Parts: sequence; structure tokens; C-alpha cells
Amino acid sequence: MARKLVILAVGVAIIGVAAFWLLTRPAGDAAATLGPYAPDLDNGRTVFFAGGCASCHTTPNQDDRFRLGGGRALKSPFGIFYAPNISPHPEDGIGAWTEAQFVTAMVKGVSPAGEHLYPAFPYTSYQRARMEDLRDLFAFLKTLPAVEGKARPHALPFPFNVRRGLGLWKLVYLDGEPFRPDPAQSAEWNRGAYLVSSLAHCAECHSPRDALGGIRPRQRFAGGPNPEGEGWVPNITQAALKDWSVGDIEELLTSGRTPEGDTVGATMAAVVRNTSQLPAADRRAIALYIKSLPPVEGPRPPARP
Amino acid sequence: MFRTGFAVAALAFATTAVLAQSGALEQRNALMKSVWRDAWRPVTQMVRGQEPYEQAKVDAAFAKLAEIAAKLPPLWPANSIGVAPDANFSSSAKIWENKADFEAKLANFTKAVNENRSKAKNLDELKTVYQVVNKTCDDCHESYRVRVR
Repeated sequence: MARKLVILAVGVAIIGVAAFWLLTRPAGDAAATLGPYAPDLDNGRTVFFAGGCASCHTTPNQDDRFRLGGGRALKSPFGIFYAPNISPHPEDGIGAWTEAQFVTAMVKGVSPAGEHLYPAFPYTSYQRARMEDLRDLFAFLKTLPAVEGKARPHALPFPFNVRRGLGLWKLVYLDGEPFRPDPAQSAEWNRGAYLVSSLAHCAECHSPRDALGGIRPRQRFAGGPNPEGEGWVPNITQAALKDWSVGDIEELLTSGRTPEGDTVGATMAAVVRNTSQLPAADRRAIALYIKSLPPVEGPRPPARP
Repeated sequence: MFRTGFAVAALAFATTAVLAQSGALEQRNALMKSVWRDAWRPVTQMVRGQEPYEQAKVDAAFAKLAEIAAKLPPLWPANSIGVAPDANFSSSAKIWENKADFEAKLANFTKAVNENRSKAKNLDELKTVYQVVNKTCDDCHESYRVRVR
């Protein structure tokens, strides 16, 4: 009897390990068959600023937004992430990556070595980006200076340091869907919706997250505690911004000024350094879309004592 | 007996420390609110053309700023991290990790106020002064101010 139980337990364990292995296998190189393409570097620059690449990947303690040596810390409830070097340096950066490997990282969160990347790199949003935009971005990144030096490894405790486990996380939170325009809306609104849901990845900070670090879909854009630690990220649905005009939102994305005349702080100031570099029409489109977000109540901030 | 006395003393010390803390918290919150309400909002409205230029209001605003700037430096003592009861913003814990940088940024604000308080005599000059002073506000707020609700 006992022997049968042991055999059963071993059998279950083997099936469990095999299931984990299969379920967590990093997705293959789906983009390996990219055809010939003439990249648009101007658009690549727009994608670079819409995507906010510089906010995490620039070398700290210097002002050049095009030096992407990495090394900035991103705090999270799961540990500290250090943004990698994405400059075209052949050993330390992404200089040796193929275009297909780059696209795979952006939309599937898988590295050229076939490992899962952590979703601190917001591929949950980038997966909705158009292939042309990703290819233009890759070409643009190649024009930037190569920066020497690798960032330090992430400081994550067990079990979060097991990359393979992200395979399970992706089953729940990564759907592989492209952006789908709403034909009932204007082209401008759809451009805004596209930028917000893919490259600009607004929801990644402006939404509450569950215990596994996934966005709570029903409270998307409704703000919540800052996952990086201190303070509160504001709700950007009409529950909070009903007194803001499209022009007010546009102004904030241009100058960082609120309608009252205050300035946005901390991480949003870094975002504005990107959005201020976008074509005005794109800022307008983003503002138009944000203004159209239906009111959603987010988590309640800590009560006033 | 000795132990009781020690415990009472420790308790009294802890209470004082807490009071001192909430004092600093509340004072700096009240002063920052006053900066906006009594000085910078009226000036911002003039700069934005929402209110007509008025020399007396400009002078009063800068006098208020200078008065508050003089009171601010001692209001971030050690261990005064926290959120004031009626605050929308709080001081980041980074202040105490980078105290020298924080103090330098605060000093820049005071310097900008004192050097520019009498310079604005018309709307164009006010716009120039506004940019200079406002940058010192932003420099500190961007690094050390946290939205809490």
C-alpha cells in the first residue's frame, strides 16, 4: 500500500514538473521570418519617445536621453529591477540582436537567449504595437551611441528569481492580442487609443495591480498605490479628470503643468520629458482618448487620519 | 521604582518626539499650502492672463514667499516622515537619504525668491521672474514631493 502511494506521489510529481516545464516554455521566435523593410527613422524616434524607453534605460546621473546604458533601479513589491543596457553596444547592449529577436522581446517578453523577461519591461502593453513601429524603433535605436557596461542583475528573492515561473504569469496576463481600432470612433481617437494602450503604456502605472502584479482589468486607468513604493498614482478616468478639458491634458503632456498651474512630480515628470518630444498631433490624440475614458472608481487612498 | 521612572521618562520622551514630528509635518504642510494660496496662485493667474496685472498683489505675493522661505529650513528634522492630516502631498523619504541635496535645492528656492522679489514691475518682467522662481519649486518637487491621494 505504502509503496503504491509512493509510486503515485512520484508519478504526480513527474507530471507536475512536466506540466510546469511545458506551460512555462518561453514562446519561440515568432518573428524570425520578418521580410525586407525600409525603416522610417523619424517614426522610430516618435516610437522611442512614445514608448518612454529613455525613462528607464538611460544611464543614470547624466542628461543625454540617447545614452541607453541602463542601470536605473525600478522598485517593486517583488524586488528591485535594474534596467538593462539597450544601447547598440555589441556585447553589453543589443548591438548583436537581430530585428526578429528585438520584436520577440517587445511583444512576447522573451530574450534572444530564450529566457522570459520580467514584465517590469512593459511588454504587456508593447505587445499591442504595430510591427512597422517596432521595426522603425529598432532601426532608430541602432543610430544611438553604443554605451559600454552592463547593468547589475535584478535583486529578486525566491521565487521571483525563477524566470521560468513567468511562463505561468504570462498565461494569465499576456494575451498576444494586437491593438484593434474602434471603427465607430475618429481616426484621431484611434491614434490616441493605440498610443495609450501600446507604446505609451499609461495603464502600467495608472492602474491598481493584484497580488501577482497583474493589472486589475476593471480598474484600468483608475490609479492606485504607487508600485514603486511611496505615494499614490492618480486616477486618469473621468472619475477624476471630469473638470479637465482635452486642451488641459494636452498641456500637461507638453509642459507638465496642471490646469491649476502646479507641476507633475516624480515619475510623471520623466514621462513628460518623453511626451513633450512627440508630434503635437500625437499629444492631442492621446489627450482626446484619455478624456474619453469612462469614469471608474479606483482603490481608495488611505483615509485622512 | 527605578525601572518605572525610566519607563515614564522613555514614554515622555517618545511622546515629545511624536509631538515634535507632527508639529514639523503640519507646519510644513500648512506653509506649502500657503505658498500656493497666498502667493503663487495669484501670480500664476496673472501670468496666464486669467487676472489683470496688479503691482500691489505681486509685491504682497513675493513678500509672503520670502516670509515663508525663511521659515522652511528647520521643518524637515530627522524622523519626521509622514503625511499631515489634510495633505494631498507629503515629503519623500528620499529627503533624509539625500539631505544635503534637498537642503541645497531648498536654498536655491530661497535665493531665487530674495533675488527676484523686487524685479517684476510689469507683466513681461513678472513672466521672466515667474519662470526663474518656478524652476526652483519644480526642481525640489520633482525629486522630493510625493502625491499621497
